[in-house]
Amino acid sequence: MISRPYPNDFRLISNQIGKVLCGISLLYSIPCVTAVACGEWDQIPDYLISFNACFIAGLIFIFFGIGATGRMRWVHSMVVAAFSWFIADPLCAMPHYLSGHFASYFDAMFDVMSGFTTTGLILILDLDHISHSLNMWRHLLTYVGGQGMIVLVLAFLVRGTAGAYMMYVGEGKDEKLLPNVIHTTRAIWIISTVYLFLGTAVLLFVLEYEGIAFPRSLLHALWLFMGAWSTGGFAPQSQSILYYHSVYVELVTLVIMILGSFNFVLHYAVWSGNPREMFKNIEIRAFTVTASLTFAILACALIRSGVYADLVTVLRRGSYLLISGHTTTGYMQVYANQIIQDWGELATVAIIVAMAFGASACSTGGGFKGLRTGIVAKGLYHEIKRIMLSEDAYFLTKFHHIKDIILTETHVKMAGLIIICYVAIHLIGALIGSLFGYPFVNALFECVSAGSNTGLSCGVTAPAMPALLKGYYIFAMWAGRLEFISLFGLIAFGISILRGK
Amino acid sequence: MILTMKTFRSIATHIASSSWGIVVEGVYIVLLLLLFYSIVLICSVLIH
Repeated sequence: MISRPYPNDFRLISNQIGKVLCGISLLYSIPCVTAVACGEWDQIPDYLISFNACFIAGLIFIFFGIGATGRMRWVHSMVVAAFSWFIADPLCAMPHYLSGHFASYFDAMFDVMSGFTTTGLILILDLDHISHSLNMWRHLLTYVGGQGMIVLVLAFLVRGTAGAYMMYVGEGKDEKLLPNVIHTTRAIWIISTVYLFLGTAVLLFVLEYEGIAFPRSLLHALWLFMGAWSTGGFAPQSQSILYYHSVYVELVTLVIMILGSFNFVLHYAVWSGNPREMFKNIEIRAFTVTASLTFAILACALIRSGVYADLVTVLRRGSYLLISGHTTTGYMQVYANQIIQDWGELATVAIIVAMAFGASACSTGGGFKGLRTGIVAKGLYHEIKRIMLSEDAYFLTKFHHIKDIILTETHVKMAGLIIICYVAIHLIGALIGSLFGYPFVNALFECVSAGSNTGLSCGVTAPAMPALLKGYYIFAMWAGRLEFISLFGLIAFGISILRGK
Repeated sequence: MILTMKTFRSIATHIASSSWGIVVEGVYIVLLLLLFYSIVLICSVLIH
């Protein structure tokens, strides 16, 4: 029998959502400081209004959660994770809309969800002339979204660990670096902060070398790092990486994108004196194989089409876009319409497949994830071996992820189920796009880009696109980022409200 | 996070202690790019 939630269940959920919103409201201090430092006095009221709205909304949720007793259960955590993202979206869209760079509030919400989910699709108007503080806010959202909003709150606000692990899992990160989940979330932020300093310093050096004056070079270095590390793909200029016309900027961001797509557990293992993990880990092996195969298809397509005269350009353009797609970052150094028109359908399909495979589990990226791809490949290998051997033969298949793990039917079933969910949202999105008159390949490209939180665009995403398609992409970005786990929890909670007794 | 000298010192310590790990991650990326380069060469030979 399904039991209907008690008022205490709602109080527990409301209390946690309130804490998350109060935590997010503190982030407004960073664009506010940027506005003061850059003398953008007109922008400061936007952030103060937005901070107040977000903080008051958080307090209201905490007020409704007063008197909550008992422990958080899985379903509570899933609802908190799923709802926090949806409630934070309109609250964080205020500075966007107040800037006057969006055609509607819905468009501003689209960009914020794109930032939080580290997607990178944008509907902003005249990106090249927005204020420094708004650029800081956009990139901060994607940087925080990459690590996880709830991870942020767990790391710095929550004192007790009751229910913390469940919320951490609900946000699409289901592996612990350390036995304690609070320590795990802090370790994630330490890794990100170390690379933030290193990556920004290297990019600052490169941008200064390319002739961009200080302090603009520092801001661009910081934002490019945030966009690449979080695999968000936001850039301060509308032409993305193409704006810089620099092979060095491409090379540095390429390295940061790949680093950002690694599992935090892998970073921690390698940093803690286990360098062999880098070459034994199933996710790295899966990434190497899928990236190589898709790049081989892309390279063949580019060479055959003759769009580039020499092999170095094929390598430069092809590998950058392929890695950008595979790590689900979305940085581009070609024009959006160039992908399908000039590169051809075979190259487009290679990038679609790379985007769908995506980055590693427990990383800032999206997509199927290397762990699931590796597990399904190992499952196929196990089945083929079982057929080849005699019926009485008993054998085990193992995979290596930090330690050797025996492959079970549950591993394969869970990985397969999530991959099916991803494929379903990609195909539904492509069908909706086709119904609105977009060519199927274009619609599929854009929806895979949204669902896998990549952000590469072939031109479908634009302020003039149908509102229903915008709404579907928001849903696809959100569901894809939370890896459906919280979506299942939300559906279960909804059913228990309607059908419970 | 408030950037104090203590924070900077803590981050510098982390960079120093994890430098070997960062080098290993860099080696993997270099090998991956070399693999891509060889793929381009092989594809070029196969197509022409």
